[in-house]
Amino acid sequence: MDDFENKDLQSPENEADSQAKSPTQVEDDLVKELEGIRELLQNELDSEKAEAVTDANAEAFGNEGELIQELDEIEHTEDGEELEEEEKRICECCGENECDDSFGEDYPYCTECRKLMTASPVHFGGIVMFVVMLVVAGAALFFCSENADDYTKLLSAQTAYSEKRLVDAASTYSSYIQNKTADDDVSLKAVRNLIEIFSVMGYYNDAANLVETYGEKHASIMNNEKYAKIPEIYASFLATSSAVNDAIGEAVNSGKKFDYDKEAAKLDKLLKEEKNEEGTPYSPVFLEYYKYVLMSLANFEESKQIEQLLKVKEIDKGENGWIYLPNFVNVYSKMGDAENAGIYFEECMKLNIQESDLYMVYANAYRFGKEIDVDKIVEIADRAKESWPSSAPAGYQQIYAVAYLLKGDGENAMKAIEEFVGNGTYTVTACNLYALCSLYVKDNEGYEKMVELFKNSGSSIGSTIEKYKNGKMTLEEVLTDKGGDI
Amino acid sequence: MSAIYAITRFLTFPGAAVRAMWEHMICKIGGVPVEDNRTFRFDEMCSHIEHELMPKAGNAFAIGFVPAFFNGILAFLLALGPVLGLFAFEMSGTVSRIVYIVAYWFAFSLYVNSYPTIEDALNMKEKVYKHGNIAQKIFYTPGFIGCYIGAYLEKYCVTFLFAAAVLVVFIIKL
Repeated sequence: MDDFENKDLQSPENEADSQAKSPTQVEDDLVKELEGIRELLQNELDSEKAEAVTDANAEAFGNEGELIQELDEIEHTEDGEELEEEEKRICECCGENECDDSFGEDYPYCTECRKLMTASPVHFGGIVMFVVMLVVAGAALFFCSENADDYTKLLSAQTAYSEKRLVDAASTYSSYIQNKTADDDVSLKAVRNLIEIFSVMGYYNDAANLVETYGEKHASIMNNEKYAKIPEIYASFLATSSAVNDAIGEAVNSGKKFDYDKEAAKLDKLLKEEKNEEGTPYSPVFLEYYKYVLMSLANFEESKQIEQLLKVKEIDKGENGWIYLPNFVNVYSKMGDAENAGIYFEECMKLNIQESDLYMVYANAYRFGKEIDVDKIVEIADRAKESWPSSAPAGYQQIYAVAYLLKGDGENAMKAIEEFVGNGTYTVTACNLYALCSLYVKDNEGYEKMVELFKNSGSSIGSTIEKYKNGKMTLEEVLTDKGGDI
Repeated sequence: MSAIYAITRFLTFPGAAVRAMWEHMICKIGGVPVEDNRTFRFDEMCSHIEHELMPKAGNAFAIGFVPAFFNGILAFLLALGPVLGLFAFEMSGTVSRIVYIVAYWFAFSLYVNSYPTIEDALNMKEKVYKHGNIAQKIFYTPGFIGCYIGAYLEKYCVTFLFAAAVLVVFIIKL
C-alpha cells in the first residue's frame, strides 16, 4: 500500500516523460504501469487474505485445544472416579467388605455375607408349626379312623335319607344309634335326621325318646323349637289315643255295624273337654282325624270323607301331614279322581311321607276311573322302583303285575308278582294278586298254594278272585272293583 | 391391597409359617442366599421369605411347586377328619370336636398359603421356558400352570375367599 502511494506521488514526473514520447510508446507505458498497479494490488490483497486466514485458524485452533484439554481433563477425572468407586463398592449387608463380582457385575453382597445368607437357619416357628400340624393331623385321623365303621354306616344312612328312602335311612340310623348313649361320641346329624324321619312317619314315641335322651346333653337339639315340641306332641297324642280308645274302641273294634253319630258325639265331647284329668291337652287334629276313620269304617260317601279330611287339614296347618295326606290319596283313588290323587301324592312326596303302599294306592286311581290308563300305572311303578330299588314295601312289582294283567300279558304279570312274593312279602293283596295271575296263566298249582296259605293263616282267598275262578267276573271287573281284593 | 393380603396371612399364620419353611429349605438345598427370612410383615412379602432368584430351571420350579404340593398333601390329611367328623356327621365328642376345629383351621391356612409369589412364578416361567430343556418344559408345565395362576389368585386373596366360601358351604349344606 505504501508502494502504491509512493507511485501516486511520482505521477507528475511520468506525465512530463509521456509528453516527450510518441503516442504508441505512451500507450505501452501506460499498459505496463497499469499491469504493475494490478500486480501490486493483487499482491496486497493476497497478503491480506493470507493474514486473515492465519488469524482465524489461530483463533479456532486455540479454542479446540482448550476443549480437547478440557475433555481430556474430564475423561481423566471420570476414569479416576470409576476406578475409585470400583475399588470402594462395598457389601450392602455388612457395609465393610467388597462385593463379590463373581456372581454378577452388580452383585450387592460380599462372599462372607453370601455364605452366611446361604447357610441361614430355617425359621424355628415354621418347624414348630409343621410338627404341631403333623401331630394334629395324626390326632384328627385317629378320631376319624376310630369311627370308621360308624362313618360307613352313617354315610349309607345319609345317602338313603337324601334320596328320600326314609325306611332304609331310619333302619340304618337306628342300628347306629341303638348302641350309643348320650355321653358317647355320637353323630348329632344322625340323631337329628332320625328325629325328623320319626316325626314325618308319625313315630312320635321314638322321636320323643331321642329328643329326651340327647336333648339334655346337646343344646343344638333342644334349641330347635320343632324338636323341643315333640315330647309335648307325643304326650298329647298318647292322651288323645287313650281317650279315643276308651270312648269308641269297643264299637269300632267289635267289627259290627255301629252308629256313626253316636260315636262321633263321643269324640265331640272330648273336643269340648280339651284335656284329660292329668291336664294333658287332647289334640283336635287327632280327634277330627278319628272322625274321618269312623266315616271310613261306616262306608260314608267318598265326598263326605274328603270333606272331613279337609277339615283335619285346616286345623292342623300342615304340622302332622303324615296322619291325613295319604288318606286323601286313598280316597281320591277310590273315586277314580287321578288328578286330585296325584296332587296329594306329590304333597306326600314333598313332605317325605312315604307310606309303604302309597305308590300302589296312587296307581289305583288310574284303574278305578272311567278310563284305564295302563301307561300311567307303569309310570308310577317305574317311580316306585326308582325310589325303592331294593325295598319290598313299595311293592312296585305289584303295580307292574296289575299293569301287565290289564294289558293281557299274563306271563310278565306272573313274573312280576313272583318277584314280590318271592321276597317273602305275603300281604293279603299280594297273595290275592298272585292267585289271580296264576288263574290267568292257568297255573292251578300257584292258585292252590295261595289258598293253602290263606287257610293256614285263618282266612280265605278274596271273593272277587273266587268269582273270577268261577267265571262270575271278568279279569277287568276284578281289577277295576274299588271294594275288591286288589 | 397388600394390607388386606397381610391381614389374611396373619389370620392363617400356621400355613404361612410352614410355607416359608418349605421355601427356606429349598433355598438351602439350591444354595440360594436368603436375604430376609422374616415370615410376617405388612407388605406383599408377608408369608414369604426374601431370597435371590433361583438360577436354574429345577430350582425355580421347586420353589413354586414344592410348598404348594406339600401344603396340599398336609392340608388334605388335616381336612379329612374335620370334613367327616365335624361337617358331614357332626360328632358330639368334645375332644374330637376341638381337634377337628384346629385341624380344619390348619388345613385352611395351608391351602391359603400354598402358592408362590408372582416374582417366583415369573422366574419359574423364564427359567423353565427360556433356559430349561425339553423334558423340563414338558414335565413342569402342569405344575407351572397351577403355580402361575395360584400366585395371582393368592396375591388378590382369592384363595382365601374361596376357602372361606367352601367353609360356608360345609356349614350350610353338610
